[in-house]
Amino acid sequence: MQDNYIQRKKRGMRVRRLVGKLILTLIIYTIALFYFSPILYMFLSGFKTEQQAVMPSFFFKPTLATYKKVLGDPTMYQYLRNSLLQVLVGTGASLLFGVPAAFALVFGKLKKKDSAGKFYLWFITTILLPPVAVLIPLFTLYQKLQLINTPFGVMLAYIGFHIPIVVWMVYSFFSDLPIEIFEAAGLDGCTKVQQMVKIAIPLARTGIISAGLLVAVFIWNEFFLGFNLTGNPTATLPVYMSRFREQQGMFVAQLSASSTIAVLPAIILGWMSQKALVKGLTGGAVKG
Amino acid sequence: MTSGAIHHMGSPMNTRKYDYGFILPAVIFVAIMTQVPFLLTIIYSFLRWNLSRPDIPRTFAGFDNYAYFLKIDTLKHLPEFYSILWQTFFITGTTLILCSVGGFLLAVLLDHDIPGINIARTLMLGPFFVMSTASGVIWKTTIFNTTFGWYGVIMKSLGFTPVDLVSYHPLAVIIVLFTWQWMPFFILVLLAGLQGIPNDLIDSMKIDGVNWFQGIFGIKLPLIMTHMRVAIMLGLVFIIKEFGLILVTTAGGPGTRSYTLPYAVYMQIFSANNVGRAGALATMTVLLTLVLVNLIYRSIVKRNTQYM
Amino acid sequence: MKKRNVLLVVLITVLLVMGTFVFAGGAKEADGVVTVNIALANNPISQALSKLTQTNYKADGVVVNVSVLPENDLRQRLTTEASTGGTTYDIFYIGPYEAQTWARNGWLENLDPYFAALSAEKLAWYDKGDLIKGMADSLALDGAQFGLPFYGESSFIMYNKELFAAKGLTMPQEPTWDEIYELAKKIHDPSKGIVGMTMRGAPGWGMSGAPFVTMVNAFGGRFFDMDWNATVDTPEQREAWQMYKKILREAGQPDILSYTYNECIALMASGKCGIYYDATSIAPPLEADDSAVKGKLGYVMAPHQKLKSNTAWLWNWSMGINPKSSKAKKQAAFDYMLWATSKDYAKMSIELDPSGASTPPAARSSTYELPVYAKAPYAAMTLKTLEGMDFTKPTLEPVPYVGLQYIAIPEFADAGTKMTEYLADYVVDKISLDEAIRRTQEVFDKVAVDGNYRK
Repeated sequence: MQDNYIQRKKRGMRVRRLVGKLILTLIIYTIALFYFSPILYMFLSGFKTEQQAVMPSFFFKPTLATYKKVLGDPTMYQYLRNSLLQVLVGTGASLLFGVPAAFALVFGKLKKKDSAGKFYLWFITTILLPPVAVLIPLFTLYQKLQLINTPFGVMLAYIGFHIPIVVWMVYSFFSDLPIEIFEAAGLDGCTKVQQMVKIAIPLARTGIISAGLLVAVFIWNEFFLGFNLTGNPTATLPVYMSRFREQQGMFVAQLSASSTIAVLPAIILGWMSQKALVKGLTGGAVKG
Repeated sequence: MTSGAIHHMGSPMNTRKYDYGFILPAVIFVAIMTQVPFLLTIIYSFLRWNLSRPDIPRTFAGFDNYAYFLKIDTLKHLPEFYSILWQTFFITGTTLILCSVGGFLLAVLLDHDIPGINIARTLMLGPFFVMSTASGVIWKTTIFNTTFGWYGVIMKSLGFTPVDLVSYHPLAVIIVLFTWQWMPFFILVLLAGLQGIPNDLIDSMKIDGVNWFQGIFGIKLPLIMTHMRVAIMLGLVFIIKEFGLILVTTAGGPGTRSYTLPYAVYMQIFSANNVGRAGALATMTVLLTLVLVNLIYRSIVKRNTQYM
Repeated sequence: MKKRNVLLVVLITVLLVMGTFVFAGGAKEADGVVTVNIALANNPISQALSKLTQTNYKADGVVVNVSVLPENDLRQRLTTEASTGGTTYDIFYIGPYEAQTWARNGWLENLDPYFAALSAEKLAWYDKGDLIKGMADSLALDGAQFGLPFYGESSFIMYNKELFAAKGLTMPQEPTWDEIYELAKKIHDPSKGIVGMTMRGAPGWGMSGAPFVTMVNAFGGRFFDMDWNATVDTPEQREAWQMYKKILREAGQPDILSYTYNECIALMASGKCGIYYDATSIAPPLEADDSAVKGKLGYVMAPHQKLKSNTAWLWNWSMGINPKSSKAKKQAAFDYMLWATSKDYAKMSIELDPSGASTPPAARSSTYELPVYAKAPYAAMTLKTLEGMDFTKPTLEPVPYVGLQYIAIPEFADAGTKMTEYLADYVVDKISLDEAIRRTQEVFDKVAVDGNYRK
C-alpha cells in the first residue's frame, strides 16, 4: 500500500514536471519566433509579387518572380562583390596582423614585464574609438588621394579597426593553451614563428576561426565608414540597403528579397560561430 | 616568459631576441588607421574650417568650436548640443537597461534543457547579425508604416488610429530597434555565464530548497556579474557608435529630436561642411564614451565585490 | 627575434600601408577608354536619363557611368566632393543653388571655352539660344556659362477636378494661401480616406524647404534684411509657419513628416487627394497613361498672399564639369552634356515615353512646341509660371540674397535644413511656434556672423 502511494506521488510529480516542461517549451518557442518574426516576414515577403506585398500577410502564393528581378539587377551583384571583397580581404588581413600580435602578447618576450599588458590595453581602448573620430581626416585624405572610388581606402580603415577585435578575442584563446608545450618546443629548437604556426594556431583554431567569423560579420554589416568613404562603384551592401529609405513607391517585395540576400550570409556565419564567439568575448573580458 | 631564454645562451643580455616583430605590424597599422586620424580630428577641432567657404581662410580658432556647442548664454534656452547629449544618453541608457534586464530574463529562460533549445537560441540570436540599415528599413516599411505595416494594420483592426510612431515618437522607435538588435548579444553573453555555473551549485540549491525567485536573482545573477559587465561595456560602445539605423528610420528627426552625437557629427561634416565644428563634436563624443565606459567598469566592479 | 628582423618587418609594414595609399589612388583606366562618372538624383526624369544613356548614348572610347542616389545624399556627396577637390564624379548634377557659389569658388569648369571650340555646325545643332533664359542665367556667373540645364521646374498648384466637382468647389486661377487652406479643409474627408492637401513634409532644405520658403515669401516674410540681420522672428514669417502647419494638420496627409515628393506623388496619383502644391515637373508623371488621375487634374498658379506674384520657385537640375577631372574626361563630359541637354534628347525621351513624363521640361523653349506638350493640360500653366519667375527678387522687401525657394549662400544647406527640422518639430507639436522661431532665428543669426556676411 505504501509503495502504491509513493509510486502515485512520483508519477504525479513526473507528470507535473512534464507538463511544466511542455509549457516552458511553448513559451520559449513562442518568444523566440516572435522575436525573430520581422526577419521571418522579410524572408517570406521576398517570395511575393509587389501586389501581394503591399498589405501585410502571411498567407500567399509564393513566386520566384521578385527574386528573378532582384538577381537580374547588375547593381546588386556589384554591391555583393564589393561587400565580399571587403570581408575577405578585411578579415584575412585582420587575422594576418592580429593573430601574431595576440601570440606575442601571450607568449612573446617583450622588453618590460608589463609591456604585454600595456599593449593589450592599448588594443582594447582602440575598440572603444567610434568611427566618427577618424572620419574627417580619412575622408579629406582619401579625397585628395582619390581613394574614394577604390575599395582600398575603406578596406584599410576596416583592417585598422578590426585588428584589435582579433587581438582581443584570440588573446583569450591563446591564454588557455598550456605554456609548457611552447617551452618544450622551444627546447626542441622551434623558433617562435614555428611555435606560432605549428602549435598555437592549430590548437586554438576554433577560436581563431570564430574571431575571423565575427570580424567577417562586423565588416559585412559595417555602415558608417562604408557609407562615407566609398563612391557608388565601391559601395557595400549596407549602403545599398540604406538607399531603400527614400523609395519611389513601395517596393516591399523587392526590398525583402534584396534584404534577404544581404542579410542571410551574416546570419549563417553568426550562427556558426556562436559558441566560440562567447568564449572569445567573455574570456577576454573576464581576464581583462 | 622564459621560453626564449634557452635559445639565447651565450648572448650578452638577451636584448636581441624580443618578439616585437609579431606585434609591431599590427600596432602600426592600427595606429595609422585609428590613432593618427583621431589626433588630426582633435587638431581640426581647433581650426576655423568650413569646406564650402574657401574664401574664409583656415585659421586657428582656439576653443571657438567647442564654445559653439557648449556655451550657455541663458539657462532657460540651452544650446542644441545639450539636447543631443541628453538624447544620446537616453537612447543608450534605456537600451542598455532593457537589454540587461530582458537579456538576463531571456537568458534564464533559454538556460533550460528542452527539446530543440538550440533552435530557439538560434532564432533569438538572429537579429544581432542583421545589418542595421536593412533592419531599419524593414521595420520602417513593413512594421511601423501606418498604412501598409503590421503596426498600422493591427491597430486599425483593433479600432485605433495608428499614430505615426516614426514621426511622433522617434526616440521610442530607435530604442525599440536598438534593443531588438542588441538583446541577442546580451543573451549570448549572459547565457554563457549562466551555463558556466557549476552543476554542483545548482544541485546544492535544489537540496537547500532555495526557491525559484531567490535562486535566479539572489544567486545566479551575482555570479554572472562579470559577464554582465562585459555585455554592458561592449553594448555601450557599440550602441553609442550606431549611425545607420538612425539614418534610415528617423534621419535624426523630427527636427533634431532623435539626433545622437555620431549623427550630429555626420551632419556637421556633410551638411554644414564645417570641419572644425565636426572635429570638436567628434572629440567630445570620444571623451564621453571613454568616461562612460570607465564609470561602468568601476561601478560593476564595486558591486561585484559587494556580492563577494 | 633579431633586431634586424624586427626593423625589416616594421619597414615592410609601413611600406605596405603607404604603398596602398599611393598606388591604389586613382583607378587605372583601360587603354583608350575614358570613363565619365555622373551621379543623378532618384527622380523620374533623371531615371529616364539613366536609361537613355545606357541605350542611346554612343561615343567612341567613352563610357558613361551613371549612378543614382537619394537626393539628400547626392547633394551632400557632391558638395563635399567639390569642396575637397575630389574626382569621384566628372559631371556634377546640381542646381542653381550650388552653381552660383561653386562657380565663384572655382569648383565648376567654365564652359565658354568648350563652346568656342565647337564647330559652327555643332553650335547650330545645339542652339544655345533655345535654352530658357531664366534657367540658363541661373547657371551663369558674370556672363560666363558654368552649367547646362537638364530640366527645370517651377511650382504650381495641382488639384483633382473630380473631387472638387463632387463638393461643388471651384479653384481660383490665382489663389491665395487662405483660399487654398479653406478649399483643402472642405475636401479633407478622413472617413473616405480623402486627403485635402498634400505637401512635402520631410525635412530638408530642398525637400519641405522648397514649398515652405515660397510660402514665407508669399506671406511677405524674408530671412535677412539688407544689413544681414536675421528676420525670422517677424509677424509675416510666423503667419507662414502657422499656415504650413494648419494645412498639414487639419487637411493634410497622415505620416506628415515622412512625405517626400515621392510619397506625395503616390498619394495624388491614387486619386485620394484634393490639392498638391509642388514642382511643375511632377505634372507629367501624374498625367501619364498609367496614372489613375490622368486627365482629372487642373493647374493654377502657385498661391500668393501678401506678395502678389513671383511666389513660385525656380529650380533646375543641371550639369557642370568637375574642374579637377582630367582633360580627356572633361571633354568627354562636355560632349555628353551637350547630348543630354539637346533637342535630340527631348525627342528620344518622347520615343521612350510618349506621354512626356520622361521628357525634361522647362529647359528649352522648343520642348513646348512638341506635339505632346501642345496637348498636355499642364503645359500652358507651366510656361506661364516660368515666364513669371525672377530669382533675383524673391521677396516683398529688399533682401541681400537671391534665390526663390532657398537663399544662395553655402550656409543655407545647413541653416535651411535646421529650419525645416524645427518646422517639423513644430508641425507635430514637439515644440511651440515661439520656440521653433526662436531657434531658427538664432541659426540664421549665427550664419550671418560666422559667414562674415554681417559686417
